[in-house]
Amino acid sequence: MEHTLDTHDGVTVVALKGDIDVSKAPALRDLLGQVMDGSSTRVLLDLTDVEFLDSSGLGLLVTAHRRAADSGWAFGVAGAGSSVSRVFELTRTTRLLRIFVSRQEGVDALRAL
Amino acid sequence: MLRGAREADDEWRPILDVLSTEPVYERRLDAVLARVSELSQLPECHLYLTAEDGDRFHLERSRRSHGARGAAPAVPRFDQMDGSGVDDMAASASLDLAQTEEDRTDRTVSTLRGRFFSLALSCGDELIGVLHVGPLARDEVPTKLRRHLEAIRFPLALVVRQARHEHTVNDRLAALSARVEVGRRLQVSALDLDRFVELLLDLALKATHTEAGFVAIGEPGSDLLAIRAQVNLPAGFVEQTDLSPATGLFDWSPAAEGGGLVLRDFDAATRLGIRSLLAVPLFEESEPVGIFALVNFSAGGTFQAENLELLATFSEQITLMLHNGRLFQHFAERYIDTIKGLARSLDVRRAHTHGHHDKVAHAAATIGQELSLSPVEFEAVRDAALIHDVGMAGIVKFEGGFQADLEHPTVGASLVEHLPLHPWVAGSVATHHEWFDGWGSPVGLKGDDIPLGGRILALAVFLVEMAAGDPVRPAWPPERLAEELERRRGSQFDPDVVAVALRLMPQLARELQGSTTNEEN
Repeated sequence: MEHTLDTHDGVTVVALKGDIDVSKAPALRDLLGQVMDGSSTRVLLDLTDVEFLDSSGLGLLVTAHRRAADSGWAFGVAGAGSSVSRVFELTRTTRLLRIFVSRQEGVDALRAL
Repeated sequence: MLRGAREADDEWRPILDVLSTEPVYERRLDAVLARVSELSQLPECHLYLTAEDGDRFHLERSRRSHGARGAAPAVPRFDQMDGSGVDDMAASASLDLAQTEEDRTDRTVSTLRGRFFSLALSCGDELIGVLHVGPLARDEVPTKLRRHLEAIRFPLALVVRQARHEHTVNDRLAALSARVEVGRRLQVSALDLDRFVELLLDLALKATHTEAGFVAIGEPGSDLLAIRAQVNLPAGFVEQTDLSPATGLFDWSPAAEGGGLVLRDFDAATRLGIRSLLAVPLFEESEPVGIFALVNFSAGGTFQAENLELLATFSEQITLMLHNGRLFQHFAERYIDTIKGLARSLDVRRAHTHGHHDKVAHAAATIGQELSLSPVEFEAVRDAALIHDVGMAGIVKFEGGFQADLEHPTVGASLVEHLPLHPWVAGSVATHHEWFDGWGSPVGLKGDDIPLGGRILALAVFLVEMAAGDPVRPAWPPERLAEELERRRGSQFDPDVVAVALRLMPQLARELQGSTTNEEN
């Protein structure tokens, strides 16, 4: 799964690239697990360069959100384009995730938690 | 004919003939009141009928005559007036009267319009209503008036009661027909729903350039989902796909938090060969009712923004169809219960038909069980038995006595044929007077052209009617019932059904005779 990792103001930002579907899901699962097992307690997933996200990717995001909540961490997603945003709306996962318009907004929000 | 009998016939015949010559309820009452006016030579007569609660009379129909040149048109009830003003109000009699024990005997009553003779109309212990005739010139009722009215009391009560009963039944039938029409507009049979969903799914795949898809729908009150429509799924996909909320492909728990559903089992998805999958949850209000899923098995299948808008529309349409389907199912269940109630109400018309439909249902169920019908066939025959004569509700004509409407099987079947029921329900109602050898009615179907449910129902109806007897024929004992079944084997009745009925005869006869005896007691 093509990605970059950065840290901004105590927030670990994972920027993904490409499509997220069933074939990529195991790799994303491993990546998220690796990040969330690390030292950071604030994780932001940047979806700016993600063109498509299917139900498998959604499942991982929801799972990551739950694990973070169980552990007292903060988890959010940011930068979703029109297609990814529409998928969130269609599947009603907007009600479950912390969704931010931009990376900076997400960093600012999670830092404050 | 004796002179007294001739005189009675002369007095009764014009009133009794109303039922055979006039089908419209209001005109029947007008004709009856016209005869009363003619006999009484008094300007007004008002027919009050016992209200449903039994505590009051309600003014059902009035007539006011103007002089010797003929009667004026009947005065309408207050709620039928055109609102032309005080004159109309002054012309009307009271709309409601409290009912007292005194009303069971003839007497004079004081009203705003003067003293009237009140003729009690009863059938047995049932007080149908009272007929107010007047206004009287003096406090005493003229002997001639009393004699005339007492002479026609019985046919008056009989005709008014029968007309009212038929009017009530016809009203119910009209209400049912209206609901049939509503039901037709809502109609989504199980088969139609699946077909429509499949068409929508096919359209969605083409519009979004997706390879395959499915729609899974949950049963009301259950967590289980079943794939109801699918397009282009590979062989074995449906069988291998676990959709159970607890362990299956999708995690429904987000729905409880206001969200939708997500893919849980990536490994299973990979095993199924899925490359990408978009599952849109279907909600009815806030309740998840199904899944609308688009699936790609090869690389390159994604969902563009404009296509996702279409998905929203498709999922809304499917949800609407599901909603209408459930609405119609609920309507159908209440509707069939109403039909059963109407059929039971027909049974009370005559003493020897009390409980007829229930008895036929029991007999048909007993025979059907012995014939090893499937559970759905068994229930279909039973339901058909509970409504088989409901088409008789539309009877309005008779000559010299009641004559069964030959079309009542067809009429009864038409009331249920469009419902999402087993075809034996309508089919058995339609054919319960057909004969195995083709000599029955209304169509003259023969042999296996008559559904087995209809063949069972025909024999059950025969047994119940013959075991009950009627005012002109005594009830047949078990031995006679068995002889007649044997005699009619192959002609009126299916030989196989006869064989089963003969085997069960001791039990059937005991149950039928026992139920008849209980009613007599």
